[in-house]
Amino acid sequence: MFLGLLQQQAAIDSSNAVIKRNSDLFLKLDPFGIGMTVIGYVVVFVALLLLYLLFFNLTKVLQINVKRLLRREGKVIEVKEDISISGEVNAAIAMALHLYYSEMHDKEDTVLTINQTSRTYSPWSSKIYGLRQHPR
Amino acid sequence: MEQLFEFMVHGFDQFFKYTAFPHFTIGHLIMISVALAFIYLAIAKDYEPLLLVPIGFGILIGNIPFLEGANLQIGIYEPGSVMSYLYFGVLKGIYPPLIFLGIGAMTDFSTLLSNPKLLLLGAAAQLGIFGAYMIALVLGYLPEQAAAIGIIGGADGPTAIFLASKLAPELVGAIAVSAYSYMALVPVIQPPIMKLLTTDKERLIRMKPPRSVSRLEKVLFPIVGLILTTLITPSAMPLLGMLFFGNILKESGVTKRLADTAKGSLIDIVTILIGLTVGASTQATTFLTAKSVGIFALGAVSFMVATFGGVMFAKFMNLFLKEGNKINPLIGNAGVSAVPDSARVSQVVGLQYDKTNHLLMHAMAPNVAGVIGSAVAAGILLSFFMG
Repeated sequence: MFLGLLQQQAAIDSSNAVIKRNSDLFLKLDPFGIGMTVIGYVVVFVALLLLYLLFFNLTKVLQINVKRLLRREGKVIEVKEDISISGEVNAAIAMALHLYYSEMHDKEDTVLTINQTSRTYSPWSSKIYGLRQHPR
Repeated sequence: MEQLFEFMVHGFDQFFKYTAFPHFTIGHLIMISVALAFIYLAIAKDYEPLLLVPIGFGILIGNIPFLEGANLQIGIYEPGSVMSYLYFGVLKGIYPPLIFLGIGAMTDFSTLLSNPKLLLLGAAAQLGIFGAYMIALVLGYLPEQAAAIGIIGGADGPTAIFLASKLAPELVGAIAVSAYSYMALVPVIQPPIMKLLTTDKERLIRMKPPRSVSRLEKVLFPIVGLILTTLITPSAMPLLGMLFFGNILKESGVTKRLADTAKGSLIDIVTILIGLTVGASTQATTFLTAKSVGIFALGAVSFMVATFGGVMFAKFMNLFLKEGNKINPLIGNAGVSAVPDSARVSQVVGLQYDKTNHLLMHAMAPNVAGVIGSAVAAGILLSFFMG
């Protein structure tokens, strides 16, 4: 364990020395940080630009794949149009499905039924409210 | 009798020495006021309460004075104290990757995937990091300190702590407090700059609604994203690795329990520990220096430069985009990775000019890209100084 701690300390010392050395180098060669700024900014851009290019093209490839599958199934005749659906359309479809499955529809099925309820008392069926009480 | 009296006086004197009163300095008062301000902002104004309450309370804990050097093992800088053990996670950069794991499990990259060109706004806003780096150098900070300060401009607390703990551990407290404070102040700092840099016509631009993104794309993103970004900056692996790992836990759909833990209990525990210890690290006797004040000033500048970079780049992109595909430059500010505050700022400012133009969804894209961008920038700075 002691040896491990020593090794750890040695690693910290060595990395501090590296930082110090690089720091001195930066102070000497790039005192205003222009070089670092240019390189750093460009690298960040390149990293995200690569991600952009990859996913921009990946979307296209996936669309072509989906179109090919649909065509094979004979579902699509005209394949030129964009098959992507906007999030808003998706939300509308999801809402419609939710309403349908949870039967929160706004149109009734126009069949009226009278079901007997198990409730024994209701103000609607109460004789007290329904009949006049004649004075005796 | 006299001896007893002397003994009692001596005892009281000893006791008094161990109370906080004789060690109180104006610095402690200032820091306690800062703590109270943080707690007030969090509770009364609802400014980033999950961060400002732990940090504010941590500042209170760290600034109750005590007899230093008596080996009481109380203070965060005293070896063996509980707080020093908890602070270890900050100093060794353990907490930030764990927070990134939670962020990854929370983040939905769909808006980014539906319009990937917005990734570039996340890169553009990193101008704040390098702008602050240059200014810090001019102000006389050492290059590695300037780099650690510059990362405040990424508006990403964990990244700032991670980098500062590696390059300038002596400045971690100041940098973290500055980063989190300005993240909470994003709604104050950004709008004037956004309004200044855009025209009425630009603010009214309506963007296409984001398309739906397939599950395959969502699953591929963390894998491809990790490979691509860490191939360029392997030093950002602890942050990006955990970010994308968290995201695949969420998007794979088969590790819901793990994703729930990462974005729930785990990130909450780490947030408590990081907030409290970073707050406590602002002990007045070591924290209140001209350097710390300078870091605060530079933090504000870096946020402004970052906002400038994002908004201006959105305008620049518009020069090449067809009508109907243009970007509302009000989402450029969201390139800083203060998720989701800066995206919310885009939404609020956008609504001020058109009550039906909702920019939140669009702004989330550069916002999450900013998280990746700032981690990549941190990796670059690390590799420059530690390589």
